[in-house]
Parts: sequence; C-alpha cells; structure tokens
Amino acid sequence: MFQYILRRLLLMIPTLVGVSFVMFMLLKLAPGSVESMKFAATASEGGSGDTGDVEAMVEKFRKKYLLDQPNWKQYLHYVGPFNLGPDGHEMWGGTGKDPWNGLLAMDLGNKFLDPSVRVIDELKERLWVTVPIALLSVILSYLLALPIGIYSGVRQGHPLEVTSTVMLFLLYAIPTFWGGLMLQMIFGKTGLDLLPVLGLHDKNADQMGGFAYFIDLLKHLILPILVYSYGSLAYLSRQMRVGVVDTITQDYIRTARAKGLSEKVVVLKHVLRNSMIPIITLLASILPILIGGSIIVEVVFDIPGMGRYAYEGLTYREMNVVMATTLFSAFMTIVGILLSDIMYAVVDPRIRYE
Amino acid sequence: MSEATKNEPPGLVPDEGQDDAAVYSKDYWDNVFEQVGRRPLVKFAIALLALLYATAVFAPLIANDRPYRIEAIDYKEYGDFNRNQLSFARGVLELVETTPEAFTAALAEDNKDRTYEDALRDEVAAFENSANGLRVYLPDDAEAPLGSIGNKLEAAVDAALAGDRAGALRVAGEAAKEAQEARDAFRVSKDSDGGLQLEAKTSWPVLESTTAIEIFFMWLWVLVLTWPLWNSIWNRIALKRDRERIRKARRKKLGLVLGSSAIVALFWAVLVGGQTAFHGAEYKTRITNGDIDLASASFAPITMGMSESHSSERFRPPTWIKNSALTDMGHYKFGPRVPEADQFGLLPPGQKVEVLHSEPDVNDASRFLLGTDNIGRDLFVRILYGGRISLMVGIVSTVLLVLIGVVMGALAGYFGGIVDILISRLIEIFQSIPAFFIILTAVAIIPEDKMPPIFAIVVVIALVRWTGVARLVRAEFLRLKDQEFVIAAQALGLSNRRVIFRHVLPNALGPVLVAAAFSIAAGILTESAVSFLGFGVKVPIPSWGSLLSEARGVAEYWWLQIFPGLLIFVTVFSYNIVGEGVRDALDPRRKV
Repeated sequence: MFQYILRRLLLMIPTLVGVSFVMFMLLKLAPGSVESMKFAATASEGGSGDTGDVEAMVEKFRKKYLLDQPNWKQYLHYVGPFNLGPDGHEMWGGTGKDPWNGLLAMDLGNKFLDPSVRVIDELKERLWVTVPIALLSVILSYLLALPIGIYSGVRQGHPLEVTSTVMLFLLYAIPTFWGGLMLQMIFGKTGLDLLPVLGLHDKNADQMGGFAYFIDLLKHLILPILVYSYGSLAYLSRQMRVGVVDTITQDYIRTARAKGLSEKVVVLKHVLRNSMIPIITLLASILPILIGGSIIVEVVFDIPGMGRYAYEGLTYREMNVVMATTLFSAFMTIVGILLSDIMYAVVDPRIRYE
Repeated sequence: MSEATKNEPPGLVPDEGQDDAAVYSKDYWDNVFEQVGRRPLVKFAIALLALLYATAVFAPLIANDRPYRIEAIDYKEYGDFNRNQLSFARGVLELVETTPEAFTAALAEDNKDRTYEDALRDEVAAFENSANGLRVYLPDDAEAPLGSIGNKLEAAVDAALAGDRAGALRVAGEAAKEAQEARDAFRVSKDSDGGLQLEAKTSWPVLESTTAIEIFFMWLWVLVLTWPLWNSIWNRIALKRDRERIRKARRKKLGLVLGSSAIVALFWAVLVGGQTAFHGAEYKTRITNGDIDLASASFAPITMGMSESHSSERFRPPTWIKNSALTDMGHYKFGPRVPEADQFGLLPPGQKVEVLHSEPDVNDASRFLLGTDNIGRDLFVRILYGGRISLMVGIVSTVLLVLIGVVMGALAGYFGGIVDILISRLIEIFQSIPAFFIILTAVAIIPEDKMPPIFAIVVVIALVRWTGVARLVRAEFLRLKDQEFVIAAQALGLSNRRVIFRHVLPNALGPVLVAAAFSIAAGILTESAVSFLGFGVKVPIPSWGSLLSEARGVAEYWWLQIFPGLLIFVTVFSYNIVGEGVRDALDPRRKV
C-alpha cells in the first residue's frame, strides 16, 4: 500500500510537468503581450516626446523576464531549477546572484504588473480562503447526500422519496452562476434582505469583537457554500441512491433479512458500507469540480479566493498567475484521483494494490 | 418515470408492431425506440427540446424588425439612385476626358493592375444598377431617358476604347447632360403633389436576408417536427407496416431528410443569394418618419429587432406586469420606480415613449414580453436569438467530441497492444487536466480575429472532453471484439475499417448516445459559464450566458437575471432527462 502511494505520488510529477508544458505553450502562442499592457499606461502618461524612454524600459523588461528568448528557453526557465535569466546560474551565463528558480524549486515567479509580489505568496493567501470553503462544502454535501441517498434507495416509490428525487434532479440542472444570482436576488437587498451577498466581511468588520466577527463571517459564507454544494449534493445523492438500489437486491441482504436482523441493522450495517463505493470514487471528480467552480462562485460573490485570482490573472494576462492556478487545480485533480483509489481499497476489502 | 409505465395496463401502450411481434424479431434499435417511447417524461423532454430548437431555427421569422413583405416607395432609396445615376454618368465622362496613359499613371500603388477598360465598364455597370433601381419606381412612360443615357454611355465607352476620343467625348458629354436633366425631372419628394407619380416596389426583406444555411436548418426542422406524421404514413402505406422493410428504410429516410434540406438550401443560394432588400434596415423608424411611403406591409409576430434599442424604455419590466405601466409622459405609474415630485411639487421630466409603426402600444401587454435591458432592447427577442448560439454550441461540440472519442476508443479497443497503451495514457493525462480551467484559459487568450470566441469554445470543449466517450467505446470494443459475429466478419476477410465501422461500432453506440446527451448539456453549461465570466460570446450576438453576464449587478431588474437562466436550466434539464431515459432504455437491469 505504502509503496503504491509513493509510486503514484512520484508519477504525479511528470503529469504536472506535462500540464505545465501544455499551458505554457498555450499562453505563449496567444498575442496581447503583458509588456504592452504594463507599459500602455506609462506611454500614455508620458504624453509627448518620451517614446524612446518607454521603448528602452520595455526592452529592459523583456530582457529581465526572458521575453526576448525562444519559447523553449522560457519554458525551461519557468520549470527550473536553474535560473536562465541575467542574474541566474553561472552554468547558463548568468551572474550567479540568484541561481535557482522555477517550478521545481517551488517558485512560481512574480507578477509582471507588480514585480515585487511573489505569486506563490498570493496563491497561499488565496488558498486560505478557497480551501476551507471548498472543504466545508464537500463535507456538507457528503453528510447530506448519504442519508438522502440511503432513504431514497430504501424507500423506493414512497411519495416523499419521489419528491426528493425530482427536486434533486431539478437542482442538478441549475447552472451554478445562475443559482448564485438567484440566491443573491432572493436573500439580498432586492428580496428578503436577510443575508449579505458580496465579500467575506462587512465594511466595519475591523471594529467587531471576536464573536461578532465570526458571526459576520458565517453570514457571508452561507450563500457561497450553498451554491458550492447544491450541485454536488444532487449528484452525490443520486449516485448514492443507485448504489443502495444495486446493493439492496443482492443475495446477502436477503440473507441478512432472512436471519431476522432488524431493518435498521440491515441498512446501516450491510447496505451502507457496500453501497458507498460509487460515491467514494466520486471524490476524485468532486474536488476538481469544486476548484473549477470556485472561479464562478468567487466571481459571483466577490470572494478574494483562488478562483477570483485565476479570473483576475486571465483578465490582466498575468501569465504566472494563470499558470500557478491551473497547476494547482491540476494538482488537486490528481490528488483527488489518488485519494479515491486509496479510499476504494479501504471500503472494499476485495481490492488490493501491489 | 418508470412509475408511470408500471401502472399502465399493457393494452394502452401503443406498439405499432404488436400483431407482427411473433413474426418479426426486433433489433437493438427497435428495442431502444420502444423503450424510450414508453417513458412519457422522456417523450415530453424530447418534444420540449424540439420546440426550443424550432424557436432558435425560426427566430428570424418569429421576431424581426424587418417586414416579411413590404409594398412601398422608399423616397430615400429612390433619391440615392437618382443622385447616383448622375454621378456615374459623370464618372464615365471624366474617365473619357483622361487618356488611358494618364489614368494608369494616376493609379494608387496597391491598385496597379486595374485597366482603363475595367474602370469604364465598372462605371457603366454602376450606372445601370442605379438606373434599374429607378426603373422599379418610375412609371413605364417616364423611363425612356434612362435607356437613352445607358446606350450613349455604352457608345462612348466603345468609342473611347476604339481610340476615337473626340467621338467618345461628344457622346459622353451628351449622356452626362441628359443624366442631369433626368435627375431634375425625376426629383420627387413625398410632399409634392402632382408631377411624377412613383410606383410602389414590393420586396421580401426577411427572406432576402435569410442565408442558405438558415434555410437548410429551417427545412430540416420542418421535416423533423412533422416526422411523426409522415413517418407513420410512410410506414403504413409504402412499407405496409413490414418491420423488416421499415428497418431497411431508416437509412433512406435519414438520407431524404438531409438530402432534401441540402437541395433546398442550394436552390435558395442560387435563386435568392445576392438580392438586396430595401436600402438600410431601420424600416420601422423610416416608415414612422414617413421616409417610406407605405402601401402595405406584413410583419413578423414580434416586430422588435435583436439589437434594436428603445432609448426611452431602458430597464422596462415585462409589459404584462402592473409595475410596467407608463403614463403619456413616460413616467412609471406603479411600483418602486414611480418618480417623486420635488419640493416645488414638480415631477422630473419624463421621456415620452416613441411607438414605431407595427409596434404594440406603449402599455400593451405584448410590447415587451420579457422586459428590456440597459439600452432598451427586447429581452425576449435577445433570448430567442441567443438560443441559436447556446443550443448550437452544445450540439456542435458534442458531435466533435463524439467523433474524436469514437475513433480513439475504437482504435484502442479493437487493436489493443501498444495502440491501447498509448491511447489509454493519453486519456489519463487529459483526465487529470482541469477541464474548465483549460477551456476558460484557451477561450480567454485566443484572439478574436484569429478565431471567433464561439468557435473557439466549441473546439476547445471537444478537444478537452473527448476522453469520456473514448473510454466507453474502448470498453464496448473490448467486450465485443471476441464475439462470434466479429470473428465471422474477420474470417470473411473484411478490412479492419469495415469490421470496426459496420459490425462492431453499431453495437457499441448505445452508451455513446447516453454520454452524448449528457455532454450536450455539459457543453451548454460550459459555454454559458464562460460567457457569463465575460470571455465568451461578445456583443452584439448574445448567448444565454452573455445575457446573464450583462445582468450581473443589476439584481433589482430581476427579469434580466431570471429568464435567460431559466432557459439554460430548462434545456439542461431536458437533456438530462433524455440521457437518463435512454440509459434506462438501454439497460434492462436498471428498470427499478
């Protein structure tokens, strides 16, 4: 088992490098360079005359970030671990002031428009917002999906079951961004005026005491978490229902019933464990969906998390930001797949990894 | 959905082949069609989708600010033709006055290939064009001068090309003079009585602006919507309800539907292509202003254009709602937007609503069925046209991804070995790429002038999402490739291509059909999400997602947020129902 996990972890590296290559080339092939964006403001401020100055600045900027070099070299520079820039490793003709660089050295580069900001610092900061919300939503949807799925699998045809199944099917077809807009409309100032609809804190959050601050945060989190989890809730409970329906017709369930076990024991002990296999494997697809969904949820609710970071990166063509967020979500996808494989073995003792 | 069928007595289930069932065996697709037909919800969803696609295909006929048919005198167009005939006649004279050498010397650098003769002929052709435009309006007895000018211009050109400059100059001069006189004689304004009486011109603006592709889909959809009718007649009369013959006729029917659509479109392109409607497009304004003297016109049921703005009716709620009622001054009568009088008791100045020709009255319930947006465009019409983009994206991206997936999956499953290993690794890599991130990034950075965003979305979705179908097809091929009928086909010496596509693939298509239904829904969702974030379809063509994107931040104008999203929801929901239904129909074990 340990060996298996280790091998899978090592296999992640080439996949991530592959993803980074595809993304890097995709971004490189697109026009609309970051330097034109950065110096457009300077050029228009300068007004008359100083165009030569701006050109020199652009040249210096391009040299510093190797934008004047061929794409493959830029990519090697991005992946690292050697810094190929003017201040880079001696081996590559640099001064040796700053020899290490790039993805393999856990460096995601700096922002082009604000070179003092390291992308990895910002990403960490943003993840402290996104990951807790995403985790809370996953836990919430699993916690709700299990009982709903079991109930509707066991009580097939019951009016309540039919209603809940239809409701979940409807929920599943609601696009996230529209669901978010509708919740904002219903609970915001235009509707019931019950909950805040934008951001994570009130404007005067700094003056609040610890408890009031917490309550304020909680109020701001209700709608985003709702939007995050309703889709996966609908999906998971449907899968759980399928699992229960498949399990409940098995011979060993009939045996359990025949030997006089109470319905409670049959369901909780015999059905539950065996019907959980499908929704555990779904963890692999739920995690990346949540990370991808974070873009929409965070843009709709104006939350300064990773999704919004990716959105801003795309808007301003901040290449390092786009690369960092994509790589992170690829990483999460692979981790999700690995996690579900491991969980699979835990739930189903028939599966063994060598 | 299975509840309903379970309770239904067997006699009520329509089954056209019931009495023949013992004689003719059912094939795979017979069973699938029959199973799907037994589910009322699935049938309802399919009908709903057919209707949605019908509204998208026929959008220009349902809502258009151009008339279907108009019989009218367009004074502006007439005046332009009149001015142009003179200026082209003078153009010929000017060309004749310059020598060919001087003409060539004066040509611009990028236009060196143009010859003196071409210039002359073009000028005469332009004159004839204007003259023809005038002839439509002029009474027959007044057209004589145009013919004479035309003949003289031709003669002048022939003389100039033959080297007779003096003769050419004389004839061209006469023509220009006649053109001047004709211009003055033909000058008619709407208000002047007497003198020249113009004849009304009849044209078909909506049809003339319909492209051959639109006609293709319109004809196709007419056949699809009437399919239950003609199919049952065909089956009963021509095929005598013979199951074997019905089965064989399937391909013929499909070919007929597609082929006749293509032929109709081709005819359209040849017959109608290149015709021009009335000059300009703002018919309603110009009829209202009196620039067009209308004899008769017939308009579409909804006479609002897709990008036609009504500046005095910005953010107007749906007009069947009480809060949408306006006073004569353009003030709201009820609801939160009723203007308040200032300290002197004066109301802010209102903007009087302008009702154009053929439009419903200001407070008519049908004026704006779903309200208007920030510049007063009709939301209903925009949703109608937006559906064309949204629905198209789902279908086209799915067709592409199914093609890629089927080929890759078939290759991997049929050949196995190194091919299988390579393709499987490729699938694994693609599946660990976060699809939505990649699609968003690609659409955001592909330049609009290289590839329209809508096209980019379709292609990128297909390139990223083909893995699901490929895995399904591969699994089916692995299951089927050792079965007797495949081995028999191979033993007959058939080529690999024929075995794959004619023998194995038809039996592996069931799961693909299910996956396709879901992936159409996913494609529509993805496009709307990308457009919602502002990276997709750009104005002025709306899609449902970009309509929602425009509605962000104006929650008080609820209609802008509710209706486009509702349409996405209904479409996705219907596709999910269809996907589920087909899956249940294919898998007899799951009939729980």
